[in-house]
Amino acid sequence: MASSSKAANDPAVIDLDAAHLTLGTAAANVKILKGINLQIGAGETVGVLGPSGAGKTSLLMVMAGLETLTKGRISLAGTNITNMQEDPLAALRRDMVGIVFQAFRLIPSLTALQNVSIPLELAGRADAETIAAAALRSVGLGHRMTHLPDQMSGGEQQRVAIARAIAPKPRILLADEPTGNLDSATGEKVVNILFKSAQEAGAALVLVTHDASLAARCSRVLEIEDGLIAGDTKQ
Amino acid sequence: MTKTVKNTRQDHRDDMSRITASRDGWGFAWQLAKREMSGSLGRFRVFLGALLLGVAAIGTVGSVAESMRSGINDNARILLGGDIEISSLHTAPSPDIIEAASNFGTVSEVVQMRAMLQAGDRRKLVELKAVDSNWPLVGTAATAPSMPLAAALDQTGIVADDALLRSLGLKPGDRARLGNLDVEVRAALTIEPDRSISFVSFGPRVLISDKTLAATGLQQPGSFITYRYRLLLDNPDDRDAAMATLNQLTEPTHARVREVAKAAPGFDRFINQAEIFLVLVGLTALLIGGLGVAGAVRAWLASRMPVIATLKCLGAPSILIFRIYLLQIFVVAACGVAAGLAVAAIAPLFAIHILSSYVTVPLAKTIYPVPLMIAAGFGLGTAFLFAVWPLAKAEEVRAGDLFRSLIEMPDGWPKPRYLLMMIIAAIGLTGLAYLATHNLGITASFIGGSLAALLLLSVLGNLLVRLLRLAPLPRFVPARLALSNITRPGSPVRSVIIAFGLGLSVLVAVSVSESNLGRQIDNRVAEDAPAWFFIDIQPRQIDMFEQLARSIDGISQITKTPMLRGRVSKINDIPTAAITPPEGSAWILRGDRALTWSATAPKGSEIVAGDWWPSDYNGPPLVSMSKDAADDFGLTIGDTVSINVLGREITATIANLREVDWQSFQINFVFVLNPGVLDAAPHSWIATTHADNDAAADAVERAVTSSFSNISAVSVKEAVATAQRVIGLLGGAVRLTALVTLIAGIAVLAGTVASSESQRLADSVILKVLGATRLSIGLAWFLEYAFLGLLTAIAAAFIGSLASWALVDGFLGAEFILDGWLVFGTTLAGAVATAVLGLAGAMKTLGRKPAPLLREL
Repeated sequence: MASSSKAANDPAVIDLDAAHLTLGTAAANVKILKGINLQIGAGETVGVLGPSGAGKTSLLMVMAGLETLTKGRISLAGTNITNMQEDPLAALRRDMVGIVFQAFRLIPSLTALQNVSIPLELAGRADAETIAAAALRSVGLGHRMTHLPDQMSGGEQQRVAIARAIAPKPRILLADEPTGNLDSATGEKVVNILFKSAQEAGAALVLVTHDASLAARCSRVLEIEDGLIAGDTKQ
Repeated sequence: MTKTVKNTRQDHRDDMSRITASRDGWGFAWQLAKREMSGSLGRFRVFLGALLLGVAAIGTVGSVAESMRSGINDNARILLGGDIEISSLHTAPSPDIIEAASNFGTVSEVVQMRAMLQAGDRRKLVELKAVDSNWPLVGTAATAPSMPLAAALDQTGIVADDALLRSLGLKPGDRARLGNLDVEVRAALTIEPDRSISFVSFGPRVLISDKTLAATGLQQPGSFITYRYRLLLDNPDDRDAAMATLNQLTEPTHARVREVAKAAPGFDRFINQAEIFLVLVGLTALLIGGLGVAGAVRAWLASRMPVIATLKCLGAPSILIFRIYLLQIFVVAACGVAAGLAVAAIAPLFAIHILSSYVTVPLAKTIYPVPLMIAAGFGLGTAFLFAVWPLAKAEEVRAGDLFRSLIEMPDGWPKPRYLLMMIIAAIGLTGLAYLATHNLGITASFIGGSLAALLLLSVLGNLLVRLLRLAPLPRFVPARLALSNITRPGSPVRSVIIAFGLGLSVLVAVSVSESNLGRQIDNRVAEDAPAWFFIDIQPRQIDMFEQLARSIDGISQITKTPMLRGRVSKINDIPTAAITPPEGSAWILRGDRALTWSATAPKGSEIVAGDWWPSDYNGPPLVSMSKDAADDFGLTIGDTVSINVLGREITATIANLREVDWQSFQINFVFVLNPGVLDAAPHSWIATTHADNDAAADAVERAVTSSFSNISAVSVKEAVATAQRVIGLLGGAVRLTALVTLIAGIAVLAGTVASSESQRLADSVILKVLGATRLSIGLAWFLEYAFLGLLTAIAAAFIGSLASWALVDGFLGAEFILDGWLVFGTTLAGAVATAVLGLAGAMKTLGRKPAPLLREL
């Protein structure tokens, strides 16, 4: 049973309407999302739980405009992106969506500061480095700006990734297992920074995780099973 | 909290207002490319090597050719021996022509012919050059010991090549015999300014005065003598007037006029042809190197897939991705091209040193920008052409795959705009190839042929892999791993077979063709060849000559024929100047042709069209023509050929066509006329003698040259050695192609090994975890490359033999014999090289310990 919720007075920044996603493989087509209705408002923090293969990551990719729906509709901040071409989608992501990956996905040949600057530079910001430096300082890495990713610990790399995601002040922050590659103490630290950064940016945070205690920190928890929302709990 | 959110939104709107424009232009792409590129040059070793090789080859060839051309142009007057030259065969141009020439400046007479120089009982065929006191009009001759030329040639003095003097045991002051005259060696000739540039010569130079020549008695009617009159203009502005006057005067005669622009026409032609050939060698290297470029770019981009996907996640548009990596590729290509140009700028200095023994003019040690620019264009164009496809596919990478760690280079065709870019690049390269070779036909057929060979190799590769897939997998684990590595999807087998196979195919084709030609010459020499050709036999001497030759024991066969030379002036009444001759028969119109006459068909020739004239025929001139030449010019029975013989034009009707076996050691002629047309003209006879043994051969030469001082003997053994040397030179040049293509192939092989390094590393770690020893993994890899080498060898043996058969049987019309052992040996060497090189490249991953890598996997 698909479920929905919406912040009372604020228009939804993420709005999915009967979203279907089917992926083709050599063997057969696999239905990943089977008709999801979901609205997420600005400033909401949403934890997404579910077993492996339920469709959590696919849902996140749809929200990032990285997968095109097979059927249904999706809008981000009021803009219908369902049939948007690749390059306008890239521009929209650049201006509106920040993503944090489990495997950090920093560009190895760039320093921390350069990594964080990239989305700002892509947006043509003349003050890209100033903003990037502020973002790094905000995640406690003001002293690591000139370091390359492989000169930093996993926790530090993930903090750089968070700084990169929040630096352009996105309306939507998507995180896919952000603590999956970190020990519990470091993970806790990173999650704190993630929540704090989302709050300061006023962004909606959608966090995919296997960790129920981490999901419990969110204002809303979605449970995904077999491509459908099996539970939607506000806390 | 609500307040904080609202404030943040306000900040966001303020920030957004500062956004000027989306930054996907070249400038921003360059900033990102620079950041990513640092320290990555080493990953492009194969790319750099392939470009360096091709650019260096093309640039060097172009620079050397340009250097020789400018050497000839700058020294054209020296090479020609004046501003204008009037030349004729057999007899001198008429005195009124020489007198007209002398009205414009100083004239110098040079007479050249072949003769025998005898010292004691040793004789040598020499190129005799008799000069007047004005020689040389331009430049300076030098002798060792140094002395004035007039003094050296005074009385019966001669100067000659040092090598000739040494071979005959002569030194200054010694006496030798030339024709009927005892001459005195005065010095060695060290500089002969107007010496023609040639890789082949029939004999060493002997320089004498015109007075000495007259005293030798060698100037007999009909002898093969070239008269050259050089004119040094008093006033250079008179050139056009002098040329017009002399052209008009010589037009109806057997003399011809040339000026400095054609100072060394034969060598000019040689330079052009050699340049075309060698540029094509460079192009082959670039073509194969291009596969290396594509492989290297693909491998580089494959390693950058996560970065590209990340950039796309962060909002980078596709075109920005394309530009970032295109710029990086261009920077690397520029490094490779720069290195190639550096080699190309330096290499001519060494080449000039080697060529200086053949080219008698000084060659400037300077840098020629045009050939270097063309070479650079080739390098950058090739890099672009072969990089566009992987670059275009890289921009299509799915950013969403970042979430699943399944980032792969997308398959399929690139977007149409990129295909268009590739077509434009290919057209640009073809244009450059035309600029470099000035021959569209050869360039197009070469490129077409190469692409066909590549296609054939690709098809063969696919076929062999399909056959392997059908075969049952062996039980021996390393062999099973090796075979499955070759037959798996995405295996490097096709690129290795294409790249390495092309070079190996050329090597097989060269080896088999050379062995065929060499064997045939040897067989022909053993079966058919006479020991000697005797030239310049006077009509009054021919019976005595024959009598003398027959009197010597062991002389089994004597053939003789009258001969003189004439120039083809018209074909079917069209002047030859207005005819564009076919490539294969252009030589017939280029110079003076040997002519003979006969009442009966020449022995051994086959009449394939028309009939031979009756032995008592006495009508208008008829000619028998070789069928190949007639076919080339589109002539048949009833057409006419006009020949200028000693100033008299004879128009003969083609009565029949003969099949001529030019590879036999018989006396062959393109044109044979009926008796009664040329008999009265001054002519000489040419004869051959077959000897049963070396002693008889030596005896006939000794007897003839000591009895008839004007007759020269040309040793067939030496002529064959010269021919073998020329074939060897050609074979060497073609082998160079094979070598360059093989080096390019090795670069591609190295690139393939390098690009599969991470996969191989992962495989080895897993295999080690499963208990495989380094020996068994190494053995599996060796077998994999051995199989790969074997497949390449099979493909190369097939294509190389096919190409050789086409050349020997189809093009040269000779009998083709497939030397199986030679093909086997050549391809086996290639297979072993593939196995060893591949294994050597792969082995470095074998030594890595699995534990640290397992943590990364």
